[in-house]
This record gives sequence, structure tokens and C-alpha cells, in this order.
Amino acid sequence: MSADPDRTAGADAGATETLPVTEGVEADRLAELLGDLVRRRDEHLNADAAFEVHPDDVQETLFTLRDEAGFDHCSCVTAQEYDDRFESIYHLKKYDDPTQEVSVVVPTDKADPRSESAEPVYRTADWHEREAYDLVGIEYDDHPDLRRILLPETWQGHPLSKDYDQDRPQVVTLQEHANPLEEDHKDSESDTMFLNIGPHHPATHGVLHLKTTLDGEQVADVDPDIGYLHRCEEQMCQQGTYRHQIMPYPDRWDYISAGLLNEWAYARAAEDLADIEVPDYAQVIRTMSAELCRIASHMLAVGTFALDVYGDFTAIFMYAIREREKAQKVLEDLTGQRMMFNYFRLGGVVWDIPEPRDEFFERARDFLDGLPQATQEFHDLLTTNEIFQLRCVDTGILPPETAKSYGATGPVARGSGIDVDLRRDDPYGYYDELDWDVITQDGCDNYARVLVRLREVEESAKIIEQCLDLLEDWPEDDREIQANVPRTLKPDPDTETYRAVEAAKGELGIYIRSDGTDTPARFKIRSPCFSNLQTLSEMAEGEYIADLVAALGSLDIVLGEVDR
Amino acid sequence: MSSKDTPTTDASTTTRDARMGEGLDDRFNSKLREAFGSSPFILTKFDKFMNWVRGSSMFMLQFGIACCSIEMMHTYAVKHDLDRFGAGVPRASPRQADVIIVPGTIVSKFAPRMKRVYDQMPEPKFVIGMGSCTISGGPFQEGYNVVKGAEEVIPVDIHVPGTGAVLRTRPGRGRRTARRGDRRGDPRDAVQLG
Repeated sequence: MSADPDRTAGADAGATETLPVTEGVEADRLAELLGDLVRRRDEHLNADAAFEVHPDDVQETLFTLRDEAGFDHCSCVTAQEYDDRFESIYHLKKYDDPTQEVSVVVPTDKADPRSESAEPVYRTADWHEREAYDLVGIEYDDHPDLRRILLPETWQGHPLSKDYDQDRPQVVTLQEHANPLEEDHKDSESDTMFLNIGPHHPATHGVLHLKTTLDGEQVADVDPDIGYLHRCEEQMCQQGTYRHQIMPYPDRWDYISAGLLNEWAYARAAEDLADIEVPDYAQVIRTMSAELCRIASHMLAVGTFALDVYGDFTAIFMYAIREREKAQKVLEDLTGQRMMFNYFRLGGVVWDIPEPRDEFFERARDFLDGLPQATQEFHDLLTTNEIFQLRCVDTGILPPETAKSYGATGPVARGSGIDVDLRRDDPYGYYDELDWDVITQDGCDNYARVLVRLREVEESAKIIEQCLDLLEDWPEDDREIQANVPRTLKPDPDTETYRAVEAAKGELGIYIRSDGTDTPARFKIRSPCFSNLQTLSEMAEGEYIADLVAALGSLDIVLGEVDR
Repeated sequence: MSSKDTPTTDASTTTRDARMGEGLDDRFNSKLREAFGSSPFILTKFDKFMNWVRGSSMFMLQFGIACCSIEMMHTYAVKHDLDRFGAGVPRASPRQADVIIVPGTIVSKFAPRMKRVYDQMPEPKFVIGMGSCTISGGPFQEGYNVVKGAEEVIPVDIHVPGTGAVLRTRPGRGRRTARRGDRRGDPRDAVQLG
């Protein structure tokens, strides 16, 4: 893949698949479509069409938008409390064109915050609304299973609501001391068995708890129990100042060396909010370093997936870590850190390529030169391996319609044949000037998802190579790494935006509402893993227990991002 | 070993000689043997000996919590190769583990589970707190849900500071844990960020 002699990146951008620039949604036409359902028009920076609807009209509005206007992607549900009301915002997009966005704003009463659930329209709203209930305290009528999701069942109060007293002690019990095999699990007709997987288990990739009910060797029901790593990231970001204090936190959402991709999500949202232009040179550095992170992240995904399927710390895991080490070395040269980079700044990056530049470029190119051989090794050891294929082909099936309904994005969606990639569809950074492809596979199974990741590594390498060429030839007097950003950033009050980037796991979106101070009034993280993990029960139920583990591995979740 | 007046040598001796070359057979002469001198006996305190034995093969629990666990995985793997210290294979079961490395933020929901895992480990057991989160809650200290350090739940022998604790501070420290015996909480043993 590095054999491409035509390195004049940017010049042949016409060859890439770029969508025509759209004028956003036709807000007026949508307002006409919704008719009386719209009570008021709101203003969101990301979406021209922001409609305020009555809490009892949520389902009708969303059904109309989904079925008649084609908004098939419920990207995120943001809940927040104002002085006089609660509010849920449904951020809707189209899988075909993510630049078309609609926000459905549902204000609810302060004394009794209730609104209709969106779960019958978008399955993904299930968990999102549970989170909104858990952290903010809005109740959703018609929701199939409204209970806490991140915090323990016994928690008192809703921590992101205004009257929450953080100093009050909370009692958290270990309910698992109770015998999980309660009476009603036993049934004379069947031989179902209850199985706790996790929260400390090698196959869960962190602290995830799967409450599994088995019928013989087959999974009858699986209920992921999350929140074992809920580190209050949103609260931390709401306490931090825009300019400096928030940027270190994104590194810790998806911590598999994908830090820069996460930082970019925050940078993009905040730059949109404060209207900051990023210099081209900084965009190229951002693009290059972010793709290095993507390679590192996908390598670990493949390595640990092999670990799940084959079972021990053997060759593939070691090979994957070897490639990661090389990528991390390049990143360490650039940012000074192996994992917690804290390299992006609003309006650019913190410093330029390290001197001597030639040495840096040489090391980065060495890494890229070795990569084709390394990916070939993975193909030899993994994808062409018969045992691996037996375990992965046609297991963990996720049909595209189901994936869309659950809001799956990233390699999980692309492994189900959904052609979506925000780098191309909602261009940011320098991606639209470069020559690369979006990888999709139609298999819808575990195998397809692994193939997508492996081939995305190759595409990322292409992008990095083009960026390196650009950086090498960049005129010395034009190397502007940061825009001029005020030291204390105070965006205009009541500005709202939701911006997403293509992180390693999918669409990582940030919603920010400013209140005129130097800290956000609401900071909401839309994590791709959170939505992707919801698909697990669809993939695993009715399958063998071993395939459940493979399916979970192929989703490539990071609990830091699921729980935030 | 090979002497001229031996009339015949069998095949195995020849190949052995060829392999070892001239001179004394020093295959059993380790550095340790050199230190002992000519005597094959040593006199030491039993505790010291046991600590040496334990420290030479600390089995770690495969226990990933958060960001630091990624760096922990790197210590097992190729570049840093924790197997040099006889600790390369993480044990999935706490019942087989000597040392638990706590690699990440402890939150309210997880704390009781971690305590339970710790309780399941056999004595003697050691705890390494990896990263700032296990010292004080680190960057998440002010969070409503965050336990302010692993020490609130289980006794920690060694704290490794840093967020995304730099892994080159870690290899070798496991041995030191074993040598530490039961001097818990001695601040002199806190490892500085490398």
C-alpha cells in the first residue's frame, strides 16, 4: 500500500469519495412536515432544525422524522437541567449523510420531569434514556426497563441535577453476595442456568458484568451491567475551563492509545462553539497523529480479539503489541507521552514536530514501511486461519437494520455493510484533501469486523504517509500550529452544539452548552462503545456461550468510554 | 574435563566437549555460586530466603480496570517482557495470584468487587497501586462516584504515581514488593515517576 508513487496528496482529492456539500437539512420543510408538533424553533449550531416538542408527542415526532424524512440514526440523547425546566435532546442524523442533523428538544416540568420514551422508535434510546434517568433524573413513560444504568441501584439522588449534594455519603452494597440462583431461575421444564461473567473476567476487556442466562450451552438472555468504571467524566468536564482543563480528560475515555481521536472530538465541538479556525498545518499534524492512534487502537483490538478466540498470550497478541509499541514510540516522540497525550489545544496542537524533524519523519516512515509485512502476518495467522474462520465466520450476526436501530457506528457498523465514516461524510481535519477509502464488509459477522479493522489499519497508513509528505514539504515560515485563542475562553451564553468525529470505535460526539462562563454548563459525551455494546444481546442470544465471548471481543469496547 | 590420557571417548562426550570447548565446566557456576565461594551451603534467615524465592516468581492477577491496564499489558508483552522476573503469565484466577496490580480508578460500584477479588487471593499477597487514581482518585478525585484511592478498600504495598503510570517504573518492582515483607505503607518505598 505504500507503493503508491502518486504522493501528491491534496491534488487528487477528486478521486476520493466525497459527498457533495449539502446545505444542511431544509429546516422549514421539516417544520412543515411536523406541523403542529413543533411548539417552538430552537437554535443549535450543528443543526438548523431544532424543534421543541411537547413531552407527549415525542414518539409521534420521531416516527415522522424517521419514516418520512429518513432520520434513521439516533445519535445521542442529552438530558440536562435548567433553572426552570428539564430538557431531553434527541440528536438525530442520517446514516447516508451525517451532516443532515435534527435536534428534537423535549422540555419537561421541573417538579415532575416526565416525557415519552423514544425507545419504540430507536432501540438505542433504551440505554441513553436510562442514563438520562440515572444522572439527571428525567423519567420516561413507556420505557421498557427504566432503572439506573451507571450508578448502583442503591444510589440516592441524580448527580447531574442541580439539587444533588455530593458530600452526602452513599452506601453501596455488594449485591452479588446474594445467591444469584434464586428460586425463579429454576424451572422443571428447562435446564437454564444463570452465569455471571465479570466484572473481573479476562474476556470482558475491563470491568463489564454480563448477566447471562444459559439454556444448556446456548445463551438465552444476556444483560450487560455497566458502570464499574463510571468516573464522572461529564462532571469533570463541566468543572473544567474550556481552554486548558478539559483537554486531558478525553485521553481517558477511550484509553487504548486512542487519546488524540478523543481530544479531537472535544476540540471540534469547542472550536465550533467558540468559532475558532484551525490552521492547515495544525490540521495535518492532527490528522497524522490521530491516525497513528487509530492504528494503535485497532492493533490492540485485533490482538485481544485473538486472545479471546484462541485463548492465551501467544503470538498474535505479542505481534499486535509489537506494532503498537512502534506506533506509540512515534507518538511519544511527537507528544511526549505514550498514552495520555494531552497534545491538542483549541485552535491547533501544543507544539510542532520535534527537532530534528528528519529523524522524526524517518522513524515514522520506518514504522509505515514495516506495516504491510505486519498486516500480512496478521492475515496469515488470523484471517486465513481455518480455526479462526470456524470461530468467526457466521457468528455474532448483526444485520444492518438492527445495527442502525441501535445506533452502531465505526467498524461495527462498517462490518455490517453500512457505509458510514464521519471522516468522509462530515469532513473535518485534513481528511477530505487526502486519498483514502472507507472500508466496508458485508459479512455482518465477527469475521467481517476483524477484517474491517485490519484493512482500516492499511488505510490509516496511507493517510499518515500523505500527511508526512505534506509536513516535510511545508514551507518553514508557514508552520502555524495554533490559532490565536483568548486565554480565557467564554463562548456566548446559551450556545449549544453537538459535534462528532470518527474515533477508533465509531462516532464520538460531544454536546456542549455554554452559559457565558469559562466552563461548560452541560458537557455530554456520546460514546460509540456505549451504543455498540447494546447490540451484544442481539448478536449473542440463541448462540453458543463461546460465540458470546467472540461477539463481545469483536465489538471492541473500552469500558472507560462505555461508562465515562 | 577432556584430558589427553583418556584412551577413548564416546560420541556423546565428543559432542559435549565440542560444545563446551576447553576449560572448566562452568555450567553450574552462576553469579550466585560465585558469591557463595567454594561452599555449597549458605546460611541465611529463613524469611529472607523465602522472600527471595517469592520475589523471583510473582504471579500477577490479570486484573484490568482502566487506562493503566493497557500499560500493564505492555509490560507482559514483547518489549518490556515481564517474564524476565518470572511473572510473565498473568493469572486469571485470584486463587493463583501472589500480587494484584490495581491499574485504574476505583468507583463505588467496583470497590466491593475488588475487595472480594483481593479476599480470594491466598496469603501472602501483595498489592501494587498503579497510577494516581489508586493513590487518591487522581484526576477524578472530585467525582461523585470515585473512591479516593485503593487504600480505602484494600491495603496497598507500593504506590506508583503518574497518570497513565509510565511503565518503565514498574518492572522489577514486583521483586521489591516481595522483599518488603510486611513493612506496609513505608513511604520510602514509593516509586518515583521515571
